[in-house]
Amino acid sequence: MNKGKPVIEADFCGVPMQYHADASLYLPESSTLLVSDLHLEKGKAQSKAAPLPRFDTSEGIAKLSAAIARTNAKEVIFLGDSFHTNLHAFQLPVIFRQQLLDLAKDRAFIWITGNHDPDLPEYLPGQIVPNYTASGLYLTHQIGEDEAKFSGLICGHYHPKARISLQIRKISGKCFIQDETRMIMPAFGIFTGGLNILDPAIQKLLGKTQIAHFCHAGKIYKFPVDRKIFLKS
Amino acid sequence: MRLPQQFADWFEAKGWTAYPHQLDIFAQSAAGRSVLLVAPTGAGKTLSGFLPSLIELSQNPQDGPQEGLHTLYLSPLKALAVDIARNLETPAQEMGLDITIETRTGDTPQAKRNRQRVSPPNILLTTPESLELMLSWPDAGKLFGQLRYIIIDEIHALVGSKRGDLLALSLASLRHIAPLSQSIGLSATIAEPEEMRCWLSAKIDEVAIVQPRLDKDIHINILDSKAAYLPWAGHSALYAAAEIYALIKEKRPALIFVNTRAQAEMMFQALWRENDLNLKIGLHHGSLDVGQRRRIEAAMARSELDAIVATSSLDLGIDWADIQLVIQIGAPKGTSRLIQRVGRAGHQLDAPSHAVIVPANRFEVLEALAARLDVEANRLDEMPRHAGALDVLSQHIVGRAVAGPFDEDKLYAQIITAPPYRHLSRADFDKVLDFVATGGYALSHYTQFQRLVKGVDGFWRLTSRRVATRWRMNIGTIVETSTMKVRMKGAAPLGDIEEYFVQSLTAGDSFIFAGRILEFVGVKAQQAIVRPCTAKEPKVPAYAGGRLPLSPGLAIRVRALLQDRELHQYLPIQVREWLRLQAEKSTLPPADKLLVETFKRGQKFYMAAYGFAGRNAHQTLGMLLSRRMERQGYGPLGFVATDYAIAIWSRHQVTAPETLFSSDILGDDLEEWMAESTMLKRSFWQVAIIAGLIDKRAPGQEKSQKQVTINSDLIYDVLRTHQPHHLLLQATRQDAARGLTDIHRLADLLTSFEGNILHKNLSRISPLSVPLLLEVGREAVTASAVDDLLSDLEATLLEEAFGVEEALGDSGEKKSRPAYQGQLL
Repeated sequence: MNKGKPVIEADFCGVPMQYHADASLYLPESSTLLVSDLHLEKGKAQSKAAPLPRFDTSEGIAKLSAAIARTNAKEVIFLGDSFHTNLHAFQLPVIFRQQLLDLAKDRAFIWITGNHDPDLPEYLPGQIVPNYTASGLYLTHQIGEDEAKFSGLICGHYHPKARISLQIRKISGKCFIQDETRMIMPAFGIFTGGLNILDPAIQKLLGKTQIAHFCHAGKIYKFPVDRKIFLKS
Repeated sequence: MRLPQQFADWFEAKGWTAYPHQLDIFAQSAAGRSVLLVAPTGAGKTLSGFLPSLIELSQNPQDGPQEGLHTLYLSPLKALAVDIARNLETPAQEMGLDITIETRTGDTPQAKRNRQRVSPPNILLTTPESLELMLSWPDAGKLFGQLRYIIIDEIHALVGSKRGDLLALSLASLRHIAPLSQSIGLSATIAEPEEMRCWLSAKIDEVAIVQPRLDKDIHINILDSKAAYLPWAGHSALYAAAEIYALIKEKRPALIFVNTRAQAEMMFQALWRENDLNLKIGLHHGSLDVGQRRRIEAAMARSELDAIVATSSLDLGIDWADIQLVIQIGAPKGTSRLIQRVGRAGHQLDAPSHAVIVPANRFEVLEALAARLDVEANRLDEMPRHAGALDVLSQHIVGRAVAGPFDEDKLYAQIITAPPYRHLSRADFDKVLDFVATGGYALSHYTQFQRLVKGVDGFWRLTSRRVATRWRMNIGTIVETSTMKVRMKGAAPLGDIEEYFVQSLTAGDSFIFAGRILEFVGVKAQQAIVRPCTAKEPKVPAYAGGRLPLSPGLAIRVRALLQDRELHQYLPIQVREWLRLQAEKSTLPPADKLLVETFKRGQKFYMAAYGFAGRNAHQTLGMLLSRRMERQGYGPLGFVATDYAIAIWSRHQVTAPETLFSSDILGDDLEEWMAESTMLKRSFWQVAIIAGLIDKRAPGQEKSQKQVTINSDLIYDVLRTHQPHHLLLQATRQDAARGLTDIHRLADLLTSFEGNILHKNLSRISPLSVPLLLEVGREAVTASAVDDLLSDLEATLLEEAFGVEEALGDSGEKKSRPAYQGQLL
């Protein structure tokens, strides 16, 4: 029986990668864990409109801590938008700050800033940077004008997700999307929506031959991006 | 008791005599009692309900504008309120009564609504939602202070639903500020009228029941189709279109009732294909544009149509006296519903009602016969019973605070006078109040999210006016799936179809809607633009919900019918032969045991169980069984559920089904399933909207349904993990017990047959399971099957794209071609 797996291993730009179904990426050679778009405190930030529960931050940190425990990564790189707003990053309750500090005890944290959190607070463990290079790959939150031609690039920002039509029903899930040299990571956060991988905003960034790693129900599947199976909405 | 002269004269001028029950209502209410009138359609119910109020108004003419309302009429349908107002004006005018009659619904212009508040009419006709809104006005006491009569029409249609819960709560508030009021309830024939007395007054001993003995003949036939082939499965009954057309030719105008909107569209097309006499056949269902529906209804009222194909959108409504024939397409699903529909033919009391049931498949033949026997024996379905929904209560509590500061003890005392909430404990009430006030989160102490706050005076009040605005915009218990208007370029809209159906269309696709075949052009400004076309095989829009499950009473009779060989003579030969074969190859489902058949077909092992518990309960059973089978290593692949039975197929053979069908499946398996069930997430979404956690509409912005759904799914997951006893989860479970998951009925099924399974292991498919397996294709798929499909797709596509080596990837496993084909037959 062929069954989906929680992890897929493959090379990207010559660097071995593990694509995890929880939307994290692990580089075993350097023991680096990449996560993007956590949007911590989104529940709190949005609850002005309606009294939404604010469990999403503890849930998000728990998910991060599980990913770290699973890989035992020496280095964790956040690809931006780790907090839903600057203000909420500064106001993060002490209990969550402590949890982040605990997680960073035995490893290096690198926080890349994003459009939602351009000014990250000092209390965060590790470095705060606008972009970063790891294993020869350029890591940033969002591809800027002058970065459009970079190769060997991994970014976040778009929250890519996909919808697939099986014979009997349509399913959707978070999705890694890449061509030969650029990759967009899905959002790792709990309360995050997404942008369809076929959306022009994503498509204009990538070349012709694309591969998607599709996360669904704790498993991950690899597909060539073929418009016949992926649905636009 | 005699009618006042003015009224007696009017009856005489019309050449009518007042029915005894009309005089009876008058007498009872003159004696200060509230009244429940239980009568079939056509008994002059509406006039009966208004008689006491018209008489009182005629005797106490009021000069100038009234201080407040005299009579409030409540109807479940906006349109009905409008029609009744029109019909009431005629007798009022003819009798020269100087009274004002007005309607108030969501469609009433703002200026008129403002005027009604300052200077109300004598008689106001409105809906439960509008009443709840009016009760929140600070001057409600003045408006309703002199109210004499509350008339509640079609009360049976409200009881047992969330709308009924809201109405009951509104009535409790209303009676509190309208101490002089008496109620008059109008209901179709129901099984236990005594049970409904509590809806009319808190003092049930003072409620009189008026139930005229009317010997109205009902002739129900089952279409004895000459069609050579009676379908095994399906629900459209298109095989009988020519015969249905012949019936209309013979007796018209005819009302043709179908069970779903999709069936209505298909039947309408089929009848027009037969229509060589060019009869005027109309279409009526809830998704059509309101204007179009009103035009059809008006044309029918003027006797310009020969037939209407309709869904339950015409179950309630104004009487059309001259319907000659009612045709029920497909199984009636419940006896009470059938009687209500049939009652629309031969509407005058003395004229017999003629009806024909057209079963769409073989199981439906059994159901049709059972229903016919029930109607003849006058056995009615029991009213659904349930405790009032907690989300509705939350909404009502906010409404009370909008009206003004309240005292929690007094509010609790008032709420438990509403029938659905009579058993509401003080602890539960406090929990709801806490949810309304703070959101009910254990972790949260953020004051900015509070909706209510308790002052030092002990009264609860709103934290801000914004809460009131939000409440007003989101009032009501009907949460609809998001729809899109369908229109041709430059023309009026044809109606609404569901957004997710539109999303499945690509330009050039054709579909049936509003009785036409349309080509999809594209979406513009949130509207689906279409043009006419002539495609051969158009799609039929899918609609959420719609199909009612088989009623428990009727289910018992279908079971009994299977065993009663005497009655089999009334069945068509094809059905008799089918049952005979079943008895020979397996056995007919007994009344006291659950028949479970197992057999092998192709590479798969099938198990069919005949529970007769209705589609929703069977669907839930399927979900739970497949989880359990997965855990026990049977490798379930999929299942299909109908009103009568469930079939589930797996890679390995089930040898001892007794171990699967035990009621402990409702324990951990149910909990686990609830965590991921999309159906429950949908229920939660509705509950969250009704309870005011999420806004359907917020000031200045409309959330798209997708946005709202994503939000509520996340909240559902998070709440389940962190606060499993949260009020909204409690309300969702309450919904799950009935409604779409029907866990209550499933529990009944499992406990009554626990250890009482009749297992037949067969060498091949049984005759009774054939219709079931023919439903496959619309089946639900187990989680492992989705994984299989995805993995297969992955393997196939990677192979196509990159060649075999790459497809094998790092795993090195040998991957085979997909084995699962989706269809089995």
